[in-house]
Amino acid sequence: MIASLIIEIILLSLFCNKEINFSGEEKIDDIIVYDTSKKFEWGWKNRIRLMLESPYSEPDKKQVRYYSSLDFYLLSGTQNPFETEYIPPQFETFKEWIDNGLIEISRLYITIPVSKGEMTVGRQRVPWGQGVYFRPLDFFNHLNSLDMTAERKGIDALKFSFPLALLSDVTLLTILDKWPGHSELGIRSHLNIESLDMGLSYSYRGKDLEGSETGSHPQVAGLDFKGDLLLGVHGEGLYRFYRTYPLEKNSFKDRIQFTLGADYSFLENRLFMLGEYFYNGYGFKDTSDYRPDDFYKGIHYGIIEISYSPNILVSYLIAGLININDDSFVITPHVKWSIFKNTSLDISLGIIEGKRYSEYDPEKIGRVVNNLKLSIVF
Amino acid sequence: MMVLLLVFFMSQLFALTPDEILQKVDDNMVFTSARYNGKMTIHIGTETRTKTYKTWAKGKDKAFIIFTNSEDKGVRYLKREGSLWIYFPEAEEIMKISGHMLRESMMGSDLSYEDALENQKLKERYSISQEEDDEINGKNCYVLDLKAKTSNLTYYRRKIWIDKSRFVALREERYSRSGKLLRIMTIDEIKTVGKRNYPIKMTVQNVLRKNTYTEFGIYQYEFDVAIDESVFSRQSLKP
Repeated sequence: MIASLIIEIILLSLFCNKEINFSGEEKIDDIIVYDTSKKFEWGWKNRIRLMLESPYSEPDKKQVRYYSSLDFYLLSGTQNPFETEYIPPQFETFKEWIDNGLIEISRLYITIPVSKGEMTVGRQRVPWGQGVYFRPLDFFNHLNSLDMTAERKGIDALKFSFPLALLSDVTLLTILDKWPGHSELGIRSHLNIESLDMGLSYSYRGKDLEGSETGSHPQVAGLDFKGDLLLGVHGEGLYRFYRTYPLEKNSFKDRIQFTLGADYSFLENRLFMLGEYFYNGYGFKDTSDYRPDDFYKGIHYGIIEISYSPNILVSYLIAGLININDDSFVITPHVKWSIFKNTSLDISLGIIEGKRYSEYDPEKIGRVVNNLKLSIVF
Repeated sequence: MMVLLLVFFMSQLFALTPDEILQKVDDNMVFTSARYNGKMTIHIGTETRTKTYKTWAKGKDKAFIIFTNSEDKGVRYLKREGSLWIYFPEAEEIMKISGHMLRESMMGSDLSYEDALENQKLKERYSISQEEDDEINGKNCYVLDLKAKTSNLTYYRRKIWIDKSRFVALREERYSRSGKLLRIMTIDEIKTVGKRNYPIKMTVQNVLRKNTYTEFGIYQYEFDVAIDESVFSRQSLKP
């Protein structure tokens, strides 16, 4: 952490203009869980984010760009299913706070023009795929399985991006590891053909899987698209395969995962509908194979989202997510209200229903999860 | 009597046809390229929200916008040939916007994405007829009635009041195929930029929404300037 800050200052002084933009965000995330024993649990998470970035460069003048965000968390709450996110830890040293992610550099990267393309190095987001909720190809940045739309953790990566045409490019990527041989490699080409955007991706993981025979390196080949076919359509899929040496020791099966979705809007586009289906080749038919803290371990999933935005001040959304294998589901009504300039309030409710030991078993999560988020930007 | 007849004959001879009027408006409004800073103030009842942005535009179909106000800082739009891509800083990714969503309100304003990015000559898309002259804010105006040549246009009919001296549309009403009034646009300020008379402040009202209107203003504008084609590329959308 301290080393990262030193590197940040060095990079800043070496590459960037003296002028740096400062901005920030205060986010209060409050959660109330009403569990099956008719008991209320609550958690409160306060995040202050400080952001430093190079001034906006004109798009026709390629310049070195820099961005960093530093997060400070304050937590409070009772024991609840989301305890790792909300329970205040009893740390004595500053190092413990850092080691436990309560002070965190969530992003720290610099982008340098290289020939016709550019190189980005540092902690960053690498969003592959074009799904909305289910993103099998978006596997580099860790997904919070309790909140599919939450911001993802940054990864330390080195990325080169080169334009192939005005709307197409190719990206080469390596996820850095302490041991160079354990790094992940990736290549992705984004192509635009008429009104269709599509991506072709490949990734190789240098690290062995936990508990696997030496040499079980997963590889991923992926395809994704987004376009128009009377309504908006999108999809992404991956084929994950293992090639072990010697081959007879291969104990992992090749699998596929894919998402297909469509969207449309009505009523002068104030009412928006989206549907997505997810096939998980890694899933289990039998719920007894789920681990208690597992999510997305079924095979078939569906999600429907309906949103209505009468004006800029308020928007309403309801989403229903179902595990088709065990019929358990979550329904999430959500209201977003712009209270004042730069201040918004999100209130959502997770209504959870499912059989015992199903994925969305209320015994596991709580029957009703009430989430309140207040965001202030400055 | 002969003099009156001669004046009438001459006025008819030199009267502009609707096509010519619209051509003069297009000459003012349709630029080969433009760069400007913009501000939109959205009014909803007693509440207001202000957004600021920088725009680069070239030809009929290319535009690049980046928002600069705190709440939307870093949101980028790229429009090329009827397609729109948006970079959302919160999600840190570029999303292609489905065709049907181009009619959606742009950043909560009374203008749709399609309206905001329009830079196509009207006479290419509409057949035009002229109505009786009218007056807007003391200015004599031609009144043109435009009907869509094809069925895929959002606005089937547009009625435009054009300032006779400056050839700028001072008021426009846009209607659906069923004849329902959808939007009203009024020009609040016009500046002469080189040989152009260009509206730099206007108000748009989406009639279907209650108690809302949006004021738009442009500042630090330059027209017909050299803009590199790479500005309208995917690379520009990346932070």
